[in-house]
Amino acid sequence: MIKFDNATKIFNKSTIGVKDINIEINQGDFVGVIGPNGSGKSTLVRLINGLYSPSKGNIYVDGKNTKKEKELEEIREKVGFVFQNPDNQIVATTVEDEVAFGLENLQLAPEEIDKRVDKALNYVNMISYKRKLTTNLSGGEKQLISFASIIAMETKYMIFDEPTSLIDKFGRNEIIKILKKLKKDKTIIFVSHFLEEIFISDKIIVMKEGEIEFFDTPYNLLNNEKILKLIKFPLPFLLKIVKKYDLRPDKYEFLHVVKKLKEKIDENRS
Amino acid sequence: MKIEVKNLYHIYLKDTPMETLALDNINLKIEKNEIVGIIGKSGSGKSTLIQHFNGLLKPTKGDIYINGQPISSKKNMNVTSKIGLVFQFPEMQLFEDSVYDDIAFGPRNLKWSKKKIDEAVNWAVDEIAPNLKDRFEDSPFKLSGGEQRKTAICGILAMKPRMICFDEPTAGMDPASKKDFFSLMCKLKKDGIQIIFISHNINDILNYSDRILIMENGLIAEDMLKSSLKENIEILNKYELDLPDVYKFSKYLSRYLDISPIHEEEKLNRILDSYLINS
Repeated sequence: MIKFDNATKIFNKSTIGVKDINIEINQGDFVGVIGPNGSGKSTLVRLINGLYSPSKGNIYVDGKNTKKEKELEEIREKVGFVFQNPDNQIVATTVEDEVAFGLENLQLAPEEIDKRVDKALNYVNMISYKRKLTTNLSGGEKQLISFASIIAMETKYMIFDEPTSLIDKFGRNEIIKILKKLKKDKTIIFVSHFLEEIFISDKIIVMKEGEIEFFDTPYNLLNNEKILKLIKFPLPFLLKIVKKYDLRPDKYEFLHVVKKLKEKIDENRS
Repeated sequence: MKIEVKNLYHIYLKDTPMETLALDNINLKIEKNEIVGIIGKSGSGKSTLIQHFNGLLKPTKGDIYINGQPISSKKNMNVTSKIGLVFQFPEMQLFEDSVYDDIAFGPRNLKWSKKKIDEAVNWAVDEIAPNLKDRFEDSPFKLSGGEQRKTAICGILAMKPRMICFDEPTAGMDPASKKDFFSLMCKLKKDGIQIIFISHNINDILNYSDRILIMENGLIAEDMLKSSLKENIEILNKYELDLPDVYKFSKYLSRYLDISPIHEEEKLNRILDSYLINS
């Protein structure tokens, strides 16, 4: 479990990153984080693996405190992190070495490393890129390699900080598929700017000016005018339809929504 | 400003085992004040193409002509300064101590007078993000991601370019900032600045471009006006690109209801209302 206990992060003595955060994220949860630019989304998730240390309060991962250096080492082995811009985390020359990098730091046996690299690259459908240079990859391809690196580490918790912002819609669909696959046995925190994407989560955190304004289900977010107004996010087309006709699709996807709409029309006719 | 691309090839890491053909004989003319949207899958050559327009990348073969003059000629050096390039994540290029200095960096390199630089900086900020004026003295690294992006765009605009190429300008922006950005882009067009923008989002491409280029494997596979792309929208499937939301939804719906796929959201709403509200 990840627990924020009254956590506040202040930068340069005055700029508030996040303020008075009290939340618990349970094992197996898939939590989406959304909010305007500068609302503290990245700060929130960076507190979890100790990239930032809270100015006040504490953050615990499985009972370990991110403020304690020894415990932080253990936390970092459990929490994988994918950044918004993959250029910030790609270090190796070839794709293969990049995915192996974290594993080598874990001092795993070479055979185990090879096995995990192949498995992870297959997971993100990038196995054919194994021997390519990382510098030659497009932004989207680099992001998929960052995903593979984290998947290979087999961490219990995975944090994705706007992983799709660089990827085309086709690639985004691939990423979402991968996230859904990971959902089965990982705890995931997923930051996104896309409302339609964040709706794959079980629960959504809405942030504004460093504070958590909402932490509830996607359906309740859609029907919470106050919060939608607060974040000034226009609803994407599909969600507008869901809201307008009060549909409850199994998934917030085109086919599912069309099916529900059809059912509603049939009901209306009968 | 007229831009003509003639038989342009670009090969990365030429004569090495990692050689990659990124542009494969591109021919293109941009003459009018129009917004040109470029879409294509990752790795199709979109960024490589626009990085040739201001001389950042040199062609492996072929050339770019600006107002009839080849970009490769030294005489044309100052023309390339009239073409601004805004990268993916332009905020990564901020480096000065203050927001003001960062925006003034380009104009200073053009050796303008202090007064002209100051006017240009203030004008650019007024156009894009007036509230940045209160932060002129702050370090750009204290700004949020979205504000940093606006600062970087101000830096390009302050150089008074005739054309601006935006590479995925709204990546990482929240929807409200995104809307602001696109109205800015349309305003720049009205001011007479030619615009090229790369996007992965077909809805944005259709909403904001006059002309659309679809790139695939280093080629311009399609070069169409918005109206003809709308009429032939299924062509996007050929390039594994997503269909626009409203069209896609109405297409799925046409399996169940007696409607044809359409582009107009309002029209679709009226149809749905007729089934669900007015009946």
